[in-house]
Amino acid sequence: MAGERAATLSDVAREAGVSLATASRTLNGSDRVVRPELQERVLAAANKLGYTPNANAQAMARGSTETVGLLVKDISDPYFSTIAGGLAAEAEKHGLLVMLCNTGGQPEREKKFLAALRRQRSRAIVLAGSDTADMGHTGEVADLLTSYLDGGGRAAAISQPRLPVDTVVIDNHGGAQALAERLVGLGYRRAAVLTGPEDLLVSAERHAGFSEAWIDATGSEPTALTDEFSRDGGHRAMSRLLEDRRSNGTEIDCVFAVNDLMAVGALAACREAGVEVGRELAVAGFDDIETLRDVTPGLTTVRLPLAEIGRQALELVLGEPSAELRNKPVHGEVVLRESTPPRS
Amino acid sequence: MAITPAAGSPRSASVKDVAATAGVSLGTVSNVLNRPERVSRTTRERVERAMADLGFVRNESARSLRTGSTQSLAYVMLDAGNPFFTDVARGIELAAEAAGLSLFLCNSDGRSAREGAHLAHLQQQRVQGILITPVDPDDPQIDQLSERGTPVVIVDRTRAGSSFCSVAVDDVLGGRLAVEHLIDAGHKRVAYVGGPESIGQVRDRGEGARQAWTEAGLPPEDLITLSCEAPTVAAGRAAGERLVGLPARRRPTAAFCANDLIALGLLQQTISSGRTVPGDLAIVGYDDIEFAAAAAVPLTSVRQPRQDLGRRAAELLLDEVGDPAHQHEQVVFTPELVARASTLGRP
Repeated sequence: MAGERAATLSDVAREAGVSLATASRTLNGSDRVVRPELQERVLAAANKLGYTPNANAQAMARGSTETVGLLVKDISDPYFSTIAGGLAAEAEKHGLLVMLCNTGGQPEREKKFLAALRRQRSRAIVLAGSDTADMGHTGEVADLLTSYLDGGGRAAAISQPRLPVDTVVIDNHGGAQALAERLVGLGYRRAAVLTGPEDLLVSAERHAGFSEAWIDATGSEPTALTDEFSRDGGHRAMSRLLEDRRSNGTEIDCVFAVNDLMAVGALAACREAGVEVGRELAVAGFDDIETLRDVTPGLTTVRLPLAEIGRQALELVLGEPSAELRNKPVHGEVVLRESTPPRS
Repeated sequence: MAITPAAGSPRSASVKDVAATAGVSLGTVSNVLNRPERVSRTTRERVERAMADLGFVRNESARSLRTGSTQSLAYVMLDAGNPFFTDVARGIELAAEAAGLSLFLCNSDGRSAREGAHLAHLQQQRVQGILITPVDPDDPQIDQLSERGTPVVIVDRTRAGSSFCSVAVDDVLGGRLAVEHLIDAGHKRVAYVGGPESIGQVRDRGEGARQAWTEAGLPPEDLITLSCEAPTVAAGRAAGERLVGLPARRRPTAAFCANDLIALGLLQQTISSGRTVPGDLAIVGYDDIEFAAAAAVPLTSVRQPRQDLGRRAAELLLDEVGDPAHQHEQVVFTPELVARASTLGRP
């Protein structure tokens, strides 16, 4: 079979000597009844040509397989690879291939990918983690998406609703707020937050949600330390905090890292400095990344249904289009573990 | 007039040769390459057959005929959730970017059918070149790609008598380093916790392990092999349970895992069941992904120069894309053992 073009519905119709409509009604089902002898001819022809409906869909798309382009900020971040996995599993059910585009958070790369996906006539585009406070760039992406949409493409975003597309909105603010409230409930009073760059919306929202709730509940504002939104960034920020704690005696009983990767770096810094996490200092993260569940002590975090988020984003681009832009909110769930024991 | 290429120089066929062989005009050949919908099916097939017969290299003519082609490369990987592959991708990305190309990442998820669909699609999209860590390195579809004019470089596998470039790490040596380290530390009963035997890397690392064991004169029955369903964290946890189930006499004091994900799962299970690492079980992983150093007990592992692997592979691919006189190379990197607390214990 190698090298042969897949049989289309037209081929089956021709082989059976019936109209395209008759072939379609027989094979795809219909309210209109097809005469038994015609049905038999169609089925025999389909069998002979090795016709399958999926092959037909593919052939109809100019003989090429349909794809969905997924733009992510950093595929090596388990947060994004988990979303990608959820989206890909759903895409498979629809016979779609996923083209993963790693933007590295770089505007130029993002634009190049969008242009390439459009040239390739990708059926749909999903943008995950495009969030930047850089309005100029957001504007350029919006323009590229608009012309892609005008050409018949479908698009959605997983992030904050800043782009002119349906968006799965992750309630980062609310998740961090809930975490802060639970930690205060456990008895913690003086917090520090390890954040990523302030122009990274995911980080800024989690930071804001946590800090606002903390101030409301305790009256004190958490100290903020900024570094890269990565394991190394968390390591460096925590090292600075511990140094400060050592030399100035700053009282901190609880550290919130705005993502699990930073939290893991922070845990390593504590281990190196001989600071016992849980007993001496509480640490919490955000995302609940699976690979990181081996850390000891278990890391308190906010769980996001990441695979589900990927799936929902695909549903938005494959389902019925809507006249109004849709925002689908997704909330996280606080997961308490040994890194934040009740404070006596 | 049929033109046969000289042996060993499959790139001698030009568009003119194809046109002559198929008995069509240059314009028709151009249409077959760039606007196939304008050509009748019979004619198209005749031209494609001529291309295959002549070993015609599509990209060469594309440089002169094609305008506005998709300026990109693609990397078809086994598992986008495994940091090993995303690190390799990072290396490829750097080289691609330097050449002004975008890089698409395609996940075969270890399945041939999915891989095949990606390859077919990428070929149709006429990406400049494809890097692939294949499910099955001997898959004829890979050869077909190359024959039909899309340069391919194989990453993390070598193939004997290869008609493409490949970049890999000496996994047999890696397996030896891991087990030699355990033997040096005094272990006399070791488990090799591998993924499915169908994966070449798993077999090679196991082979290295066996070589080191045999050379040390240790009884073969004291190096046991456990096969995991998949090279994942979950499978590593399951392996941990199986190890505990062995009678005390037969239970290994150390485990060499086929990759870090399995090792991390084994580590999780060992610690959560109240045992210590390396006290009750020393563990060695493979790949040295970032999480290895970050694990609760930092993991001894065999470092693969993943980004270098990716970058070198991309460089070879770009060379092939740009140079008709390109000679294929099989590049092998040497791994190194990075010893950490999971075998050394804490200072």
